[in-house]
Amino acid sequence: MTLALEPVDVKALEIVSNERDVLRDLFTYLNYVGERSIKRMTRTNQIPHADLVRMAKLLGIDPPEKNGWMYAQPYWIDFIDELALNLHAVSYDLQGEFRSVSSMEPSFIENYIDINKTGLKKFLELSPAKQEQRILDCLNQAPAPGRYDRNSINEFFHFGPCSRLDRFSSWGMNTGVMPTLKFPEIRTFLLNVLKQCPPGQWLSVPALIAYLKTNHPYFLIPQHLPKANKSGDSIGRYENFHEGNQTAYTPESIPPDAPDAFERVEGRYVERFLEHIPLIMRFVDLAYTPQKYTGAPPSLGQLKAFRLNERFLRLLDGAQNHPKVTVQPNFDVVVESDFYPAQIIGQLGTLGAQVSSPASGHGAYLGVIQLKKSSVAAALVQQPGLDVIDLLKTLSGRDLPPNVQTELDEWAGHAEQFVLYEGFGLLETDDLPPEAAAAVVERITPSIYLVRQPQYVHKVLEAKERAPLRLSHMLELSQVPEAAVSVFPKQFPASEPEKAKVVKVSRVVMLNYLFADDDAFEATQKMLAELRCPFQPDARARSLTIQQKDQARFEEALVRLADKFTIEVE
Amino acid sequence: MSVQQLLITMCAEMPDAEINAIRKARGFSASETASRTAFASFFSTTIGLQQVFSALSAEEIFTLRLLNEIGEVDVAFFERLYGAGSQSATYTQRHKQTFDAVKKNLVRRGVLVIAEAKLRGEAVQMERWRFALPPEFAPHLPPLPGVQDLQSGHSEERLLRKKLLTLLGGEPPSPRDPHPFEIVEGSLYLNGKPFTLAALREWQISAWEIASASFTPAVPGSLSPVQAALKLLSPKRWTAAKDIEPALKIFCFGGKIPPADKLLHKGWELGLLSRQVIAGSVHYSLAAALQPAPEDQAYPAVLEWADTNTKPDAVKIDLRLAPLPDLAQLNLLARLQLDNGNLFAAPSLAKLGRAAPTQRAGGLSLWLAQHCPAFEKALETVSARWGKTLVHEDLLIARVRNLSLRVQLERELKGDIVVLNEHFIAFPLEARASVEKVLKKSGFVIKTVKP
Repeated sequence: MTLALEPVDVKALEIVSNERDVLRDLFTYLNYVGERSIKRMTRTNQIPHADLVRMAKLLGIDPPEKNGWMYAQPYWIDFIDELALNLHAVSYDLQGEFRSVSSMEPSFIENYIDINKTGLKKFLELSPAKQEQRILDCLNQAPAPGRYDRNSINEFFHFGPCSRLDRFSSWGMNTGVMPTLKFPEIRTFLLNVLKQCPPGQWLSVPALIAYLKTNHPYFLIPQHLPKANKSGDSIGRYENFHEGNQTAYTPESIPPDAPDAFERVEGRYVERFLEHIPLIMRFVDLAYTPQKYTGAPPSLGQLKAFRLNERFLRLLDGAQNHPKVTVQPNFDVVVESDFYPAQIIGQLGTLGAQVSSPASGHGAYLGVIQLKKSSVAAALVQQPGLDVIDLLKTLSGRDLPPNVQTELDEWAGHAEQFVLYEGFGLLETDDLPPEAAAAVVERITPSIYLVRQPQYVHKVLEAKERAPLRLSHMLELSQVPEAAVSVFPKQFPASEPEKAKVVKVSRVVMLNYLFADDDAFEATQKMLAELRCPFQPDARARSLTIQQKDQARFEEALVRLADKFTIEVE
Repeated sequence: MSVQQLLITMCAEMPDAEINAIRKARGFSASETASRTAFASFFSTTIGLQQVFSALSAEEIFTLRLLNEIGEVDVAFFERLYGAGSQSATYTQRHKQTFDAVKKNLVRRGVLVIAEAKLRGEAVQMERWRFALPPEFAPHLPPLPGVQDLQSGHSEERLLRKKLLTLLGGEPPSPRDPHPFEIVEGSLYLNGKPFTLAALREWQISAWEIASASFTPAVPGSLSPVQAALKLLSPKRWTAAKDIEPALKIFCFGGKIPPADKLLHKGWELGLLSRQVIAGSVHYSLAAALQPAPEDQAYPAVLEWADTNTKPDAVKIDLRLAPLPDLAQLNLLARLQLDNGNLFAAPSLAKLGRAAPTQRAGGLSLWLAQHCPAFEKALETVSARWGKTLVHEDLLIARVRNLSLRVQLERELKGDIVVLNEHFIAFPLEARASVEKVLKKSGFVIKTVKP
């Protein structure tokens, strides 16, 4: 069933979209945390500023303000950090310890962010759509049970990373109706309502609120409330919601019997809900009025329209659209997917360089990876059993362009162009004893052998009374004695003494003028500056040093100062 | 900070009054101190140094000598010289008086460099001051009181010989000596290390420390009495025990100092010091360090410490008489073994192979070849085989299939590459970064093979 809401013309409105892809940014964060050992700050338990800056660079977002935590809107990386924790992909301490009886706040000592391998593995095993669904569930269930401030972590009071609208004051949030509300169910209900709306059209937010008022007036606050709370006090329907200055105490709450009470409470919630999960997850674009709100805060009616995308509907319908991979003749591999395909990007990322990953305009992922010869060769070195052609065929579901296949065949041989033998030694001998033959890996020439365990080989040769020479080439090639038979460089007879190094020195003649008078000293400096004459002042010695080539300009300065000072140079 | 950095900082930041005081003390002219940059160079010269040093107390001179050994110190170092305030006071209160005395007596006299170090954390200014003696001043510091005499005096070897004879079952020189002297796989080992002159000197110092109950004090900068004596004494300059005592108090500040005469006597017994009686009192100097025998040294036909008649294929060594450099040399050339309470040196092809050609052609080696046919035969065998089998370690070997890449590598590594054949090259471990740079630049990758 399609919900027919009033369409809106958004020409005069300010359109807001979320440019960030939660799933992609989450994997970037996890990669960063996995590669580096991040110790959270002792006092605030936040990610250190330097790491935030580095991560911001990786994500392509603005670096954080130095004291960004003071602002109401959380920084995007902090949001991703909390999400990773809630998804059990990482772990770190949230409790801290009070270091002394006088401590006002806990300290977080040596609190490193650890990758939760089990949790992350479970997450990685999911398809991209399921991963996105897990994130949606995680945001839906927020906050985690047991948080002392759980009653304030909701759209009424709490700012999300994409929030623009102001919030109700959280004063009194632990009393009244608020602790009884079940936000996960409320959000699920609203997402199901949105699912009935047609995608790709700008729809009126007031119309959505009106629809809810008519058809689901108690979707947020149940019709029948508990008569009293644990303390025996009666519960008022809207007593948690006060209009007016939100930074000061306002005793009057919104009256439940007011004709527009639904719009003032539930309506405000719907507006703030839309700019929370749906906007964060790029399910919607929003259109705000550019006019300033003049009524009693928090604002109402500033959010005018919303537009859903197909991606949202497919996710809620559980449709499993597999990522589409296309290998083009110009070696570009185009990846299209509703949701960030981390596993495919991880596989293809080792074969080339990510050229671009532009947003497709409807929240889906569109990435282009260009296959590179060196990257393919490096991947083959790292994973000896890898069949690049087979991998690309499997991912794309079709044959590769003939030129790409031919080149990939050739690139496979590129991995063998430079083979480095690390931890081996060389044995030079014309007569290899059988005892040392076991250590030989390859006979390079008739008298040079590539051997493993050179120390062992030396010991064997000594035991066989071969009088072997042992040479170490750690820093530079050691020269072998002149009498030795070797392809290595020999010791040369003492070289001729080095000739004296020729150094050219430029001569600059400096003139130093010592002033007896402070005023004349300062005035001359200013005049020299006016004349663009470089000089070196020494206020302590009251001296000015100039190069001899600037003497004419210095004398001109003295002439110009003639009406104030009669300066005689001795 | 290096001493030079300290000096530059001092000259740049020091107030005029201080500079003037140094100028007067060292006798610099006004023009020499006019430029702060140039003054740093003048300060390091010896101008006026002798005059200033002669005005310093003996303790101040000893402190400067110790400072020269250490390098850079903070103000607490001078507690040994000028004392300090109460332990319970703050750092500044505790060292204010010391700091003032150092400034007045050493800094303003132009013999000490002072500058404020940039430290992290919340160190107070007094903790940030750093002091150093320019190394150019060290040779001009007055020596310990003593007599310059070129006579070598008397050196004692009795305890050294006693130590060597423990190999044959003799009593150790001291019951507290923990370092074994033994034969392991045909070689002499002292304290777990192959017997060399350096290992012997290490043992001598260690035995002296143990015999004198000499320990390094916990105070930073202080030395143990043995280390202090080794730093203070010098060869050919003879010092009486009582003259070294004030210096030991400075060098070993904060620790227990044994009586100087007992300390030096023990050092003499262990062969580290020489002694002679001058003007009725015993004087000590540093014994000349044992040196390896010169390679061209000619040996007499008969060596009283080497007997070639006992066994046809080995030489019997008399540990009571064998010169220590020769014993160390023998340890490099021959397989040593005990037989019936005697030490024998037999030819070892492995050891002779390891020895440098100059060692094999040295005087001792030739004497052995002339007087023991087994040595002669072994030397001939080694000379014939030596240099024909080589084992190269700590290098990287690579198979390069691309010719242009190989040319690029040869151009980059220049003298640090050996072309083994048309595919294989070898280069030192340190050249790896340069190789990786070339590969990255030319778009190649490294396939690494490990044993």
